[in-house]
Amino acid sequence: MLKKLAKFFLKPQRKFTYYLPWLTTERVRCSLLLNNIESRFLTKTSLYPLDLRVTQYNESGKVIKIYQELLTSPTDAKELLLSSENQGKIRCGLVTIQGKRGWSSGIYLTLSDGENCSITHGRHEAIDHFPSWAGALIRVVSTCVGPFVKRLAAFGKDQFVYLHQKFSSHLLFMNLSTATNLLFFTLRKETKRITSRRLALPGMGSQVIHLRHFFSSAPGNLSGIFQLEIRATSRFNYYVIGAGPEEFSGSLSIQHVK
Amino acid sequence: MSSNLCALLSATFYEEGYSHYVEIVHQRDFGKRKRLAKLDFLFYAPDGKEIGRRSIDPDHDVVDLRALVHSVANFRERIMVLMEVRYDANIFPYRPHHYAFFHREGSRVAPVYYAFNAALGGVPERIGAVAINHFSVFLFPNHAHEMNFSVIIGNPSRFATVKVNLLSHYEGGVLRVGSCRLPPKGHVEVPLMMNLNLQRICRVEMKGVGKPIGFVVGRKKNGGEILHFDHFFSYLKVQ
Repeated sequence: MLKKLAKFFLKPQRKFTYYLPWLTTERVRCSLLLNNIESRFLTKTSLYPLDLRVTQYNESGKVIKIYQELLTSPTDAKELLLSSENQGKIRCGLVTIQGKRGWSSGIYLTLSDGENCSITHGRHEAIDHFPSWAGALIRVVSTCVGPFVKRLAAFGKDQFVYLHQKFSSHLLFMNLSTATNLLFFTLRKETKRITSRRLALPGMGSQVIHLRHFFSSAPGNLSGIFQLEIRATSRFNYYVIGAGPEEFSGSLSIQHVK
Repeated sequence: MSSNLCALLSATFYEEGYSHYVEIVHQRDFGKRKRLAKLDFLFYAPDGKEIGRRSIDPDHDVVDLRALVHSVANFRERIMVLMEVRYDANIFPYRPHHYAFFHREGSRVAPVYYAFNAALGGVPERIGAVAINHFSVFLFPNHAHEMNFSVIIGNPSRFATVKVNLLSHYEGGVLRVGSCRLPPKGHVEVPLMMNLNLQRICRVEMKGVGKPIGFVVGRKKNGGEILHFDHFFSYLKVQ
């Protein structure tokens, strides 16, 4: 009901888009493997040469680079190293990929530190584009009455997270809307509520949630398997980032979720 | 329990030395509305011999796979783990997903989070394709050469032996074809040559009648820890 009302008044335009996250650290580089291997198994042959436009957004949702790559055949694959001004920090964001109608293959994402690499793929899902007035209205409402709108949060996911001394899973959140997205987190262990927090992601913005730091106010030592309830005011998704004992200073793994 | 339940068979592989946790319902809600009706774990040796089985209460959130394996057998080789579930389609309109998380004990490398491979049942049009025109493909980026890659293949079939062809494509159009024959519930790890005649591997394709289970596995060159463990992309050839 709330979703329908919000859709009626705010008039978002839903555009299905292929997207992936990107993530770099002092040690880890990120690249995409652009391809259209699926067309090898289809009868459409008029797609080539296939021009792919890759748009890279930063944490605050600003476009930092646009790449144009050309695929010449169904078996052609181009590797694209994504840029980041690292300066020793963890940097992340969202990448969208657009191609001709009919392009539909899974694009791979690689995190590599020169010795270890982790490979996953992107997702083809809706991104909500709000008119500028609606985006401004949402931003104002989020700032003024944000803490009270959890009950209005119409989007939700639940994720198990693993926090041990020698390894842990963290989350890279992406706002799949052009308006500010308020995310509400509740951390539970078995049936017990441990703590909760909230986060405002700017339109098309992203953030890596280092769970141990994010929930640093939680009582006791955060260790074990937890259930994270995530509720949001707009569309969102996340990838799971695996980290070893060196956390974000070491090698990382990445995995999409359904 | 409803008398009109759907079935799904999913698979993964277990190796000794890893902490391995299985989320029996991915995106499980706190109120446990997303609940399976029945859940069984079945364990098989590489030659297809059953090692053991365990029924698990579907109210569990995360199962410690290592503890479960140790409770049925003291087995040191790779084990194929089949997860047989019954579920209500009103609760899971598409199908349930099972994710898992593992980490090699004492290792400094990152743990791996991955999805179980849905093998039979669930969504009839997409899982359990029986035609030969079902292709499983995995592309290798340049960074893949930092590791040793292999493909672990399992045959979830109850009665049929399956022949699986593995086609490795290299730069310059070089092709290397390998094949293996797996008895029912048998499984094997096939190492991939990352370079052939100085040409690097670009992609691997797995073809077989029925629905062999395939995971692409990337191991650290020094130590053999698993750093990558993921499914193929499956495509259906349109005639």
